[in-house]
Amino acid sequence: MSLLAALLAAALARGTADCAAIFTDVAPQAGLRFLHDRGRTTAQRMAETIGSGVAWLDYDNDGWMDLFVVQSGPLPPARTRASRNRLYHNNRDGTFTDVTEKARLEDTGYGMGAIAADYDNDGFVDVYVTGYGHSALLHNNGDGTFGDVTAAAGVSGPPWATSAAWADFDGDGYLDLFVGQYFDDRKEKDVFCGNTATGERDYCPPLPFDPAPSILYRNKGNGTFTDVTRSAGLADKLGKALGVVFVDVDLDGRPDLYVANDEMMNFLFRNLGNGRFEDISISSGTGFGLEGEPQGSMGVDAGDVDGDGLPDIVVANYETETNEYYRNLGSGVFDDLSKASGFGPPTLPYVKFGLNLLDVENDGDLDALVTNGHISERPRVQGTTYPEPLQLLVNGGGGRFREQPCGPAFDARYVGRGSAVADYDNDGDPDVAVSNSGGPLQLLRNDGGKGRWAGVQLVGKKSNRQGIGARLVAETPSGRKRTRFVFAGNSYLSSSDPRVIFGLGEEDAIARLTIFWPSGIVQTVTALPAGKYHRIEETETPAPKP
Amino acid sequence: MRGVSALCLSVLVASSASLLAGSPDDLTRAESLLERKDYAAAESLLREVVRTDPRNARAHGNLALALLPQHKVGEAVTEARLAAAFEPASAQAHFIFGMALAADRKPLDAIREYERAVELSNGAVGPVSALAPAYAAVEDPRTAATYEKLAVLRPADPSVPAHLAEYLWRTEKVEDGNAVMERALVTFPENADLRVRWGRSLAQQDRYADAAEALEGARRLGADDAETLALLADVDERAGRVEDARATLAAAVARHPQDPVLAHALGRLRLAEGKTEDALPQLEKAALARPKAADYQLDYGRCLEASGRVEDAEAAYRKAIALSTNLPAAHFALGRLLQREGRKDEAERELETHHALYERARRQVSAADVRDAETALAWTLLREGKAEKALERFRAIHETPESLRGEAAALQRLGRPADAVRALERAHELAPDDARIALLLAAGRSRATESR
Repeated sequence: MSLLAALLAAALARGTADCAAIFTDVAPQAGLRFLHDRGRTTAQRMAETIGSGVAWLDYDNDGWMDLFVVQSGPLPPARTRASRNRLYHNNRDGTFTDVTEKARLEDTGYGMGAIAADYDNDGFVDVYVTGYGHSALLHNNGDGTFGDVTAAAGVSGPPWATSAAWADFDGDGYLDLFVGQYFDDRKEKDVFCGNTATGERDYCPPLPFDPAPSILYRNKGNGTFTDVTRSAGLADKLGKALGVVFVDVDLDGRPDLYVANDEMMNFLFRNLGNGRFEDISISSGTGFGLEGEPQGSMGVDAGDVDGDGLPDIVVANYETETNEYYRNLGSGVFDDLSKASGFGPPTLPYVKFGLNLLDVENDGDLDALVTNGHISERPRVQGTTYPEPLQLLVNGGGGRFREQPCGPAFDARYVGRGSAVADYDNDGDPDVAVSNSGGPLQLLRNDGGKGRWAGVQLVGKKSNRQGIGARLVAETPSGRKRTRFVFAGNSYLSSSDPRVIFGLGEEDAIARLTIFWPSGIVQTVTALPAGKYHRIEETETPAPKP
Repeated sequence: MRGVSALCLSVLVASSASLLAGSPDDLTRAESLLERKDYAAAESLLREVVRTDPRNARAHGNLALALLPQHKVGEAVTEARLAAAFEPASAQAHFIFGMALAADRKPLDAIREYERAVELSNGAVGPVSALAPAYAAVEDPRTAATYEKLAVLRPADPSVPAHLAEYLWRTEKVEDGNAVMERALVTFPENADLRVRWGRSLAQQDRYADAAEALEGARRLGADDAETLALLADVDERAGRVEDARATLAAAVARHPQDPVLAHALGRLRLAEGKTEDALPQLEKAALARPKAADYQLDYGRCLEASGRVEDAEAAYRKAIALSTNLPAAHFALGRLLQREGRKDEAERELETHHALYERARRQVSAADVRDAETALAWTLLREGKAEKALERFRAIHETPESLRGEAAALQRLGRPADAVRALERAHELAPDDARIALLLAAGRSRATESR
């Protein structure tokens, strides 16, 4: 080792000694050589700067998470093979193989997001791909191939579909689908944004464009869906949706819906259980920022940040706005702790898109990973750049955050967009895939998870097959409780590993795990040892509530 | 004396005796009165002179100068015209005529006279000093060159490059304006005012770190007025230098303890940092100093609430709402407070009000943004030489002063000056206080007359 190398190594060791976890981008060596094509035009159309997402899914049920990556392509959409999305099979050795051809993935729309879930409960995970002008439902045939069933299923989506999410909102055991729509962009050809003196165009802010409705599809259980947006009470809720998450905020067993809108009030819809939703955006305190101002919201995630058993909501916002941390107080009311918790201030200078809650060091507290990247290629504000760094916000316990950029992944700058979490190497700590607009895909391998862990994979019987929407409460031998939720669709244009990892710190087991299934069944499992995933099937008969 | 600078007048009065011929005794006395700003007495004396000597150009010119400060613009124009007619080779007479025309809102006619004065005086400083801002007011392409000429004539005057830079920034030639100011700072390194102007422009360009540096430089040179220090703290904060902003504001409050803006800014900053005990006295002071400012009451309320003084906070929020019923943030703050206090119905009412106000504002801002972006497209087409298409776009936009200004520009480009004037007249009706449109209308009318 040269003197320089030794000094560098020493500096690195010093710099990372206190790190909760170290993330390293291993995409190239893992065989993930994906370059996003955003189809940049001189007209600077909004769609080309929105980016795309990723979805983790175990499409072949081998117990290892595979990766679906959304491609965009030329604008206007040319439907060429170059704009095909890619599926990467996990080789179980830290590498992936591109199986797009083999899987017969033929969709060539201008892609936005991907949300994986087994919508027909056949045991094989399917994918809904949202897009600009074209969305697609790709049915997993169970033999390593997929078929486009969009038309037959009746889920063609809105004209500009962004984030989407799956949840069984009506409790019939089948996953329903909510598809967010950004806005009505028909005015785009009639406007100019940029420098009128030089004629140099830039991307418009969303304000000049009209908000538009998103769509809620009810799964009929026979492979087809019905648009129930109107009957659910959502048709007149016009927004500019970029982020979506289904989460049961009031713990009544029914998934509620949070929608992050760009430069508009965000929505929180409470599921009334009769097929309808009630808009509690205002009364819940989650519609606006700390001072009642609408924000440029993009990604969203939910989870028990402060350890009180209730799902809190976090939202990624535009530059000069902080990320939001809405602490759930129960009864459908939230407190805005963005500033007081330290969650928001470090994010102020950046344009935030992807936002995932994950326990990077397996200490039992949910941390947050943020992907940043400006909209404009020439940002106005001095010191800001088009590509921006990732951010890791470490939860010191109880929802008190501090930024901790640990590892080489935080030195790089990309135009970050969609992000999704999965333990792709099955080592018990969460890794992250990040889609960068016009840039390479990143696979952030977590090399520092220090705590012990126990993983849970749910298999629904009465509930949907993957247990999407379930709430899990783990109690360790020392009596500490941790609550986690199972989602299909979160962050930005993305969906994560549906398996749940419980960080146990120094403890060596989950003493007692209570699962609140979407079916209403409450199941308790005891003595789950650390260091492995536990596959838990839904019991046929409900146990008495604990 | 619209459009006439004090500098021009003093230069003019001091030198008029050497340019205009006349009966020396009364004229000299009248000029002394003018110098002493006794315009009424000067007017009286000069009226007597022109009655006895009606072709005395110097007397007519001086009379115009006496009338202008008394807002007798029409008469001043007549007198100045006579001065120029009786002494057509006098630069000073044309200069005075130009000033009178400028005061009479005939900017293009004024420019014509100033140009004549510049020509006859071989580029004397007075006429050039008047011509440069006259060009700037109508955005004449010769503005920059004229300011450059003036800079040569008045090399020790830092206001010349300052005005040139500000003209360039205003007309979207940002880089050119920056270059002018950067050169001026090299020439006048000790001038605080230039650095303040530079800092203000950099802040408007979103170059907060550079703005902070410029304003810090101005501060070192003695610019420690409340406005400059508040701006410095603001750009420091926007540049992410919160500690610098805090230090600046603390020092500024110590320097200007009675200034409510500074106290409010420091209080807001400390509140955002969670330092309610430091924030409270500042916000309280600001709220007391500006009891009619709803936003000051609102921030005071926020701080009271953060300090646990819920009842006082509620009172402050209600006061803010009483002062400005349409302040959405005040309804939001009150609604959230009531919600935390378990007063559900009252809370919902406030939050609904907030939402309604927010929705209304959103629609208004959105509509304005649409218009701006549509107008920008039309301007871009015009700048690309597509006047017909631009005209079509401008006309498709819901009528605004800016769309009508664009329509007029397109019509002018298409050789339809009378139609252009009609568009500007409509714009002037919509925005009677818009000086730029008034000047363009005056210029348009002159052009239309000339073309006829």
